[in-house]
Amino acid sequence: MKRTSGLLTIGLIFLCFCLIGAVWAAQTEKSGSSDRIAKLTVGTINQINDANPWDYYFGVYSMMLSHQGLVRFNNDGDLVPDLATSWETKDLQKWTFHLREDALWHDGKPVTAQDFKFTIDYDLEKDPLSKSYIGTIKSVEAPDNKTVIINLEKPDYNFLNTIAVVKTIPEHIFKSVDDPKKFNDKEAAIGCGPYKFVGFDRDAGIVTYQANDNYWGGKPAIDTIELRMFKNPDALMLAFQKEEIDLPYYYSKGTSYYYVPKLLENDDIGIEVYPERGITNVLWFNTAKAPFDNKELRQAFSYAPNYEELKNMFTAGYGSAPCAGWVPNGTLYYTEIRTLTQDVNKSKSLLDSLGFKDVNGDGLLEMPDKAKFQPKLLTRSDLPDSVRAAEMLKKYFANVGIDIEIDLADKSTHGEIMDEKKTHEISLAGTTFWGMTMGEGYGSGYTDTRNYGWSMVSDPKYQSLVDDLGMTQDKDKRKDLAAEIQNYYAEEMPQFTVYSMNIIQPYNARYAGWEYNPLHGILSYGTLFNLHKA
Amino acid sequence: MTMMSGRKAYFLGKLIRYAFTFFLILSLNFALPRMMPGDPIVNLLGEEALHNDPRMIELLRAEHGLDKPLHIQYFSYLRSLARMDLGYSIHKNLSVAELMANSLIWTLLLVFPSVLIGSILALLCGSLAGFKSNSLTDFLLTALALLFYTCPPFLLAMLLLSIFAFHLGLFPLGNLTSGGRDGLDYVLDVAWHLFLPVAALSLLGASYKFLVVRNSVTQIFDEQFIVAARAKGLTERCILLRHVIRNVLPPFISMVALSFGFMVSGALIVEIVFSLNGMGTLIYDAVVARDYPVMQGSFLVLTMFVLAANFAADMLYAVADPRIGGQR
Repeated sequence: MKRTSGLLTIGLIFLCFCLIGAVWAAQTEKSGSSDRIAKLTVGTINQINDANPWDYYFGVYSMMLSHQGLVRFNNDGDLVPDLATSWETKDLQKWTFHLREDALWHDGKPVTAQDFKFTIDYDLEKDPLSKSYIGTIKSVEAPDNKTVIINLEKPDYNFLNTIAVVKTIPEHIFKSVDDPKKFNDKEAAIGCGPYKFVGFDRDAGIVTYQANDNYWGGKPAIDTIELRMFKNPDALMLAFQKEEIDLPYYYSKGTSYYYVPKLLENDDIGIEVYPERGITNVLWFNTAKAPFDNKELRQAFSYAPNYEELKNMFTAGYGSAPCAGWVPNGTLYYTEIRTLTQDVNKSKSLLDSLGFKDVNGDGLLEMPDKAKFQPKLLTRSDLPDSVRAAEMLKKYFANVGIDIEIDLADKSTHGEIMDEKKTHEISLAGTTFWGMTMGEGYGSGYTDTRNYGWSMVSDPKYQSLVDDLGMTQDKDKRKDLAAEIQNYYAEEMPQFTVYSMNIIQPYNARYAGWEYNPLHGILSYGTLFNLHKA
Repeated sequence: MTMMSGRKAYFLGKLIRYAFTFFLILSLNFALPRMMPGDPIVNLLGEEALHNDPRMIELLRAEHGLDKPLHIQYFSYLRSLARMDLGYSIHKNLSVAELMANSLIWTLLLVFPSVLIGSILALLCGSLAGFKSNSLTDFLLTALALLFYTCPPFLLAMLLLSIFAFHLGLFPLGNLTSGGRDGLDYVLDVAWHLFLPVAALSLLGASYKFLVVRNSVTQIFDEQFIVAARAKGLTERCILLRHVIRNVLPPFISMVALSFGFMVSGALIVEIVFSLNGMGTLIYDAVVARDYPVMQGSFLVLTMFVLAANFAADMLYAVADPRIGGQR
């Protein structure tokens, strides 16, 4: 009897241990997985046509999720290691990068320096478009598996910005592919980033990515990311409010302020406002064309608009007051010069001193040679806010006696005029964060006639500043040069900001750990690794 | 016998005219995109172009055969068409045939039922309203048709989306399928996704056809031969079906044929609201990007459909009205 009781006691104790163990294990498993996000659905109006890295938007999302470059932009807009753990350069012309040892392609093969050399050589050979950003690369060497040496045609401080957008592709996949644009196999999407491409359902408008268990930086926080494409932003926002998507996302843009009041009523929706590192609308003068080669005339234009009214009208308060130094606040070595303000009298007096007078008494100014002064303001017809802003500018300029004629052009015609023919007089168009880093940064790509040159500046003084920025590593000197270039903008006014809208980013507030990056927005590297249940 | 040869001559004459028109439109399809301002290559470069390098632009032009003189491009275009080769999209990295095959099937699936439902609805309701002219039925149906006719397509589509998909949750908020389904489940899922866009297009299409049918019926009822039919003692129903509808048919057939013809150009607004991949958005994107091969390919298919639909209408016209193409 005693024996039976003893056995029963031992049995009960064992059972208790088993139960406690099971409960503990279950709790551990639960707490271990409770923070992970099983699926994040991202809604977007960016249209992916095919799962080919050479498709524009698939390329953009590949760079965020499945592919990597040598370096990447962090949340402050600075460049930090990605596939390269470190790099050095003595003369800004020869750059040496040391790659990490543990990076693997999604098919398990190691990422080598030879892959990066292949990427550059392949891009330059197969894609004429790549010359637009890596055309200054003279040669790439891979002396060993983990060292990449890039030789440039001339010193370029800003080279890291350029190389940050080059996604590395696997040599073992692409070496036998003659035309990458027509290579639509699933293998074309193999990368080495934190997410693996799973599939593209064109009819459902869904692209699926899955967390890469073998990623060198550890498994990301979200198991599956689904991109759901909409053609209509209103339907996208309805899907967001209906909780069908967790994040409305527009590459390099925020959500329109129209939706904010409705979204604020929903407790499960959070909204963050981030400063825009591009500029929503800029008035560009073609400084190579008379009479816009005169800086006093450009200054006179800049005193005409009512910036406060424009800010309220186009940003509903989610904007910032434009600065005469043009580059957005938040840019490295940003210099506070003066805020642009309306001064109708100053504008009129500047115009008067230049000989622009109302000869025929119609309230509008004639040019010094008595010819009618009716400059054309070019803007895109497919951007309703730009068209409205152009109408507002017409009103402001008429107020100081300038009769501008609005010239609406669709995206293609606008591009042809601004980028190729350069026949515009004045134009209204925006810039992006990436665009502002082009050339030697500080918007020089848009300004300098040797690059995009929307304002066609070929002034040796300006070009010398740009060249110095490209060749200077010393931080103090760079700070001085940055200040000089911003002063140049304020003084010469080759272009000025009309208004700039901050990035309004709604998100599912049931998740926390969203991080914003100036290049990729809220779908940043930080978000991929830190997102968790709130 | 004479009647048959008259009809044959009528058909043959039509066929020759259609063949000539087809060739003319083919040439216009080549010329029109190139006459538009803008450049597909500059468009392609976009924001990514750091340096405005003319060599790069030339290289891209050569890649797409745009560096050759226009007449060489034209003959090359005709040769490609003869080989049934529609070329490769400049912007979308896909063959035009592949792009269009995908969009065309969905457009047909969206627009064909819409035209059919809209036409049947218009014929039935229009005849009823015309038959019961100045009655309450006529008043209600005409008011409803005018409401849909004057409602902007975007507004109607958004209203349907907002009420039935967002608020009532009866239908999805867009796209063609939910993904990951097959068999009957897939078919039902597609039907579920297409219900609202088809409803929007049907209502829009029915509204203007309704007004034409209603007015035609009202006018025909005042004709002498209707008075004669009444005098013969025929019932109103018999008069409507045998005499009135028959006279309404020729203009109605023309309208429906035009709708079928232009259905290939898609329903841009409805496609955008419901996030559908159809010919409307394909053509719109191609025009914005000046994607010449896609524009040419889409216009070609559009041409073929419009001509085929018109040819069919001509034939049906002759059947519906023996005076046409028959004995003089």
